[in-house]
This record gives sequence, structure tokens and C-alpha cells, in this order.
Amino acid sequence: MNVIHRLLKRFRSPNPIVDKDVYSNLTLSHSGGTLALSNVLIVSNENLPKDILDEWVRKEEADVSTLNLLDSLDREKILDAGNSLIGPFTHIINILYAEDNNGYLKEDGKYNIDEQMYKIYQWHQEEVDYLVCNGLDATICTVFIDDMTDGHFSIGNNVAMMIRGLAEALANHRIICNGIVADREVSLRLLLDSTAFLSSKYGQIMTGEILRMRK
Amino acid sequence: MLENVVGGKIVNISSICGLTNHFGYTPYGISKTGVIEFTKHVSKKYDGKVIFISVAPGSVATQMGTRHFGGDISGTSALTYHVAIPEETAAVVCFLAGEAGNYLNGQTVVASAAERV
Repeated sequence: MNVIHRLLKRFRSPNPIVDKDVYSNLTLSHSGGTLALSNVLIVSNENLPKDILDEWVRKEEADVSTLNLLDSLDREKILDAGNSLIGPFTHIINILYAEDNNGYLKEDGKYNIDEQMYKIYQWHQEEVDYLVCNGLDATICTVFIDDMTDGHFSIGNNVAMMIRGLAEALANHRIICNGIVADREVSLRLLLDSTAFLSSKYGQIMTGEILRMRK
Repeated sequence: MLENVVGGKIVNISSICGLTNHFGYTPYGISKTGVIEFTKHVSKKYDGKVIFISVAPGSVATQMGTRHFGGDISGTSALTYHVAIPEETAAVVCFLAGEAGNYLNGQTVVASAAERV
């Protein structure tokens, strides 16, 4: 089929290069208005300051739900978070602060299921299942905020490699996957703005990439 | 920038060819690797007084790209399955020239949609 198309000088592009959508003209937006009116889920393992979140929502004009989780994520929690919204989530942002209960094995030799990397894998598994089932163009952006210790450094690299691999697998489902590894000196406001860019139309060419933001 | 004591940011445009090997693009790749290494060295020299960042785009729908993909813009080597347009690379440069760039000094930001060259 491709040979016939080439002979006819017709080229097929699954994703058209021309975007006919007209986006909101938001001058303060970091996503160029492409997140406006879209459903965004922010999942975090710490309570995010409400004033910063509200400011971000005002700038992007997105419909945002937040989930604060200390344990595993499941489909019902995602669906509950989106109860008040019209349509499914199309953008998921994970904001993960480094935890200290890391180590693959506990002292008694058993596998540590509270280890943070295990939790990050599990969250992504549920989120990806949800987005793939919806079948819409979507993004997952993961932010990992560490304390620059050796253990956290190793998790940050694990997250980066996982995102790289996920991006390749999810591209066929038209899901963009990228992220940020940052230290605590980077403000949450800036991180949220950066996630807006990475989740936007303009962040698509950053799929599979991790920004390492360090002072 | 230093003379005027204002600091600032300089975003250099490199290429994915500077990070990977690509048949037929050896001299181009060498020059782009030079840009990446130059960015790293000057960022150390000026130690944050001026921020230097390099961007490494993948295939972009420009005149030079025509040599690589002809009229086919399906861009099957990129994860997004389309060749980037110059405006997308410009958006990344704008983003890096903003506040986020303060934390990316000396780094190379790959904006190639994980292109497999």
C-alpha cells in the first residue's frame, strides 16, 4: 500500500502536520492555551498548596482535579476524581516528592512493597490503562522532586528510564509521556508551569524526554 | 550581557545528529556535537552569570529536511509520527529562555520526539 501511495506521490501521515484547532488566546498560559477546557488530573503524594494550584488553573483555564495519595492508585479513584467533569481526563500530571522508605528489601529480607519506585510503577500502570481504554489523545507528565541523596538519585534515573520506555510503547496509542526530575530548590509554581508546557501541544516533541532541573 | 551586568540566557540550536550517528550527516553531526560541547564548556566558564542551554531537535520540516524525508512528512522515525514544524522547536526555545532555563544551565534538551535515527 505504501508503494502505491509513493507512486501516486501521496503521503499518509497518521497525525496531520497542520493543526486546525483554534486555541484560547491566553497570554499567561505556558501551554499556549492548548490545555484550556481540557480535563487534567494531578496526582501527588503530598498536599499541594491550594493557592499555587488555583493560580495555575486560572492561567491555563483547565478543568483540574487533584488526588493526594500515600498508597496505590486504582481505576475507581481516578473515576471518582473525574465525577464532576464532563468527559474523561486527557492529561495526567504526577507530582512525586521523594520518600525515605526506599530500599528493595526490608530488614527481614522481604520485598519492600512500600518502596517508592514500586509505587511509581503502579501509578503509571493504572494511569496508562485508563488513558488507553479511553482511546483519546492524551499526555502523562511525571515530576520527581528529590533531595539529591544517592537513593533519590537512583530513583530519579529509574523514573527517567521508565518514561523513555513508556513513551515508545504509548506512542502507538497517541499518548505523550515525558517528565521532570528536579530538586527541592525549584519552586512548585515553576514545576507546574513546566508541566503545562510539556503536556501541551508544544511539548509533544519532548516525548520520552526528562528535564533535569537543578540549581 | 556581562558588561551590562544583566546576565541572561543563550539558547544554542544543535541537532539530534550531534548525539547519534546518522548516515550521510557526519560533518553535520560533528559540527552539532561541537555546539553541544561548546555550550557545556561556556556554561562552566560563566558559572551561572549567563545561562547557556542547547536544544537538539530531530527532523524538522525545513529545506534541509527535504534531503532526508523528501516529500514524506509522515515522520515514521519519530514517536509522534509527524515531522516537527519549526514553530514547535521555537516554542521549546521560548520555554527554555524563560524561568525554567535557570535550572538547565549547560544541558542539552533533546526535542526530537525520541527520533530513531
